[in-house]
Amino acid sequence: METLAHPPDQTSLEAPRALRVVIVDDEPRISAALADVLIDFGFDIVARGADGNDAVALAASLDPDCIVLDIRMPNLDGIEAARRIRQAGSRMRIVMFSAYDGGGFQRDAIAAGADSVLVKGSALADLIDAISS
Amino acid sequence: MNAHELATAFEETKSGFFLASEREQLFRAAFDDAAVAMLLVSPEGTILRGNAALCALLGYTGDDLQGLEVLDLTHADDRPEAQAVMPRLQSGELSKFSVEKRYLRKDGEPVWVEVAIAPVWTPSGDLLCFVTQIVDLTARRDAQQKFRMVFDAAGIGISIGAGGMLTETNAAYQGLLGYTAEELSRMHYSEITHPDDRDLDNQAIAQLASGEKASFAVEKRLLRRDGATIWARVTVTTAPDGSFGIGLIEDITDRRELLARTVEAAEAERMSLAADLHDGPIQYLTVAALRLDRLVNKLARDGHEEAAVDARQVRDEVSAEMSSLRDMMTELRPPVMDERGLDAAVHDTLQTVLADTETRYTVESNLDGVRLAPELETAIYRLIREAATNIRKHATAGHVSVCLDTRAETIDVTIIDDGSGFDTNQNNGGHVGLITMRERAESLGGTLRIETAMNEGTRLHASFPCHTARS
Repeated sequence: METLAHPPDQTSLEAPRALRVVIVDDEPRISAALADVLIDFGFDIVARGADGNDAVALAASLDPDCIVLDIRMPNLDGIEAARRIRQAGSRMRIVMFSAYDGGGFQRDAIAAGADSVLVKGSALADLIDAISS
Repeated sequence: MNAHELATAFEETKSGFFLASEREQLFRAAFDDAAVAMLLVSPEGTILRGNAALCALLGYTGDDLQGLEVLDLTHADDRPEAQAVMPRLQSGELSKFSVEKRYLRKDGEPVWVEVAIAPVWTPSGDLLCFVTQIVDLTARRDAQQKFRMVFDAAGIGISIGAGGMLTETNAAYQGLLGYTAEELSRMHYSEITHPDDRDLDNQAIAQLASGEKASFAVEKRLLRRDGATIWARVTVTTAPDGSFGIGLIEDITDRRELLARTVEAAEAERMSLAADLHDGPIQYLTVAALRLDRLVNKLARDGHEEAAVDARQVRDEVSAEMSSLRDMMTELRPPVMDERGLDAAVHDTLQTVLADTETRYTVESNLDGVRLAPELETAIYRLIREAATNIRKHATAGHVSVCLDTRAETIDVTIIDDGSGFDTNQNNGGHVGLITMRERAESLGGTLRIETAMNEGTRLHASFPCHTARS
């Protein structure tokens, strides 16, 4: 788990306001690449985590505008992490960003409190919409 | 005309054996030319005359026989019985007697025969002679001996009985089930059939009873006397007149276990491949896609529109490749099954397969988070997906009901639709799918039954042993 503070780059799209975002994925190359892209688009990536426990802790300590969660992670999966974040009373946006698709994941993630469920490889515009809407 | 009838006719001449009357000529013709071997024997046991069939059977000429003692024709081992019976026939205590024994040919070779002896009495009550008929049993004895050898030495279990009883069983049968012949002789086949498999062959039994089929084979579980279960291939054949049936049982437990281990290993391999796809290519391509997103954005921002278009196209291709890898991963082992359980996987597949149709579905399950062996979960998942695919393609159903019922040692899967049904006697491509479904079920020790008729919907029921269930 690391807390970041990158200045946003200029972007070709209209930058949304600097929303504070936490990214949690057990594959560090993915969380790094995702952070780079989101920074380009003006988001403030305040921290990155590697499992569900990180997600719960970062959500509580940083209270970001949005947390992007992988589903399959060690120790605590993303859906269970989302449930705990909601149980703690947090109202931030929760975006599931996973290699898995299908109604089962979508249903359970939404039931756990996620706002959006996106499959990895989805169009970037959809991800930005999910984070910022 | 049997020996007794011949003796009676002979008595009716009332004039003794050598009367040269028309009746005697008829008798002689009947005796000499009869297809069955016959002897006339004096009250004391001396051969008076043998017919042509007897001479052919024993290798004698008529002259050779005259004056021989009839006991000389009998094998030494069988003589005591013949000697014991003779006085009872001579005294009239026995009116006739028949026995299977060995005669000796002129060259000394024994030959199995059935001998029927009837005494001939004069009107005054004196014993005139014996009429003896001899039937060659060589062919019958050979067949019996061969059958007995097969029965006794066969490596597969054989039972013979009427009405499903195990009246006679061979050593292999007794060995497989651990019962004695005596115990089995009082048992019905259903008593040695595993409770869950008892209705498995009901349909085939009904077809045997109605004469529609003369034989059927089924693989099912049998119960040993010690309570252990064995897998057996059972073949049942009925006699043409339906008077008895023969059951053959072949122990296929080892084959079944090997198959189960193979299925288990194959599933482990599939799970491993699916995990590799998830952890390897899909993750790497996710990174590549994000980097391409970044590149597209940078190129566009810097005014390289043409290059940005090219990069976006590469990004789309990466995305398409990820999608096909995800499909491959799902085909190998649906991730939803491992992450969210079989119930969620069943919901997913029904939702996917029945999408854009008028068919609605309901799922009832008492799994409640219980996990089954991975290969069993996959088999059930595929069974339901295959059934749903068939319903989508052929049934035009309004509703599909799926029920997963887990009990202590089994899980029952029932899929009922209210669609068009089909004729199970018609051979078409759809049935190949049903055969595959049945084979999949059987590869895990399960059974599959299909009840359907034209315009009456379809009920598919599969039952699996789930001793590997874990929570």
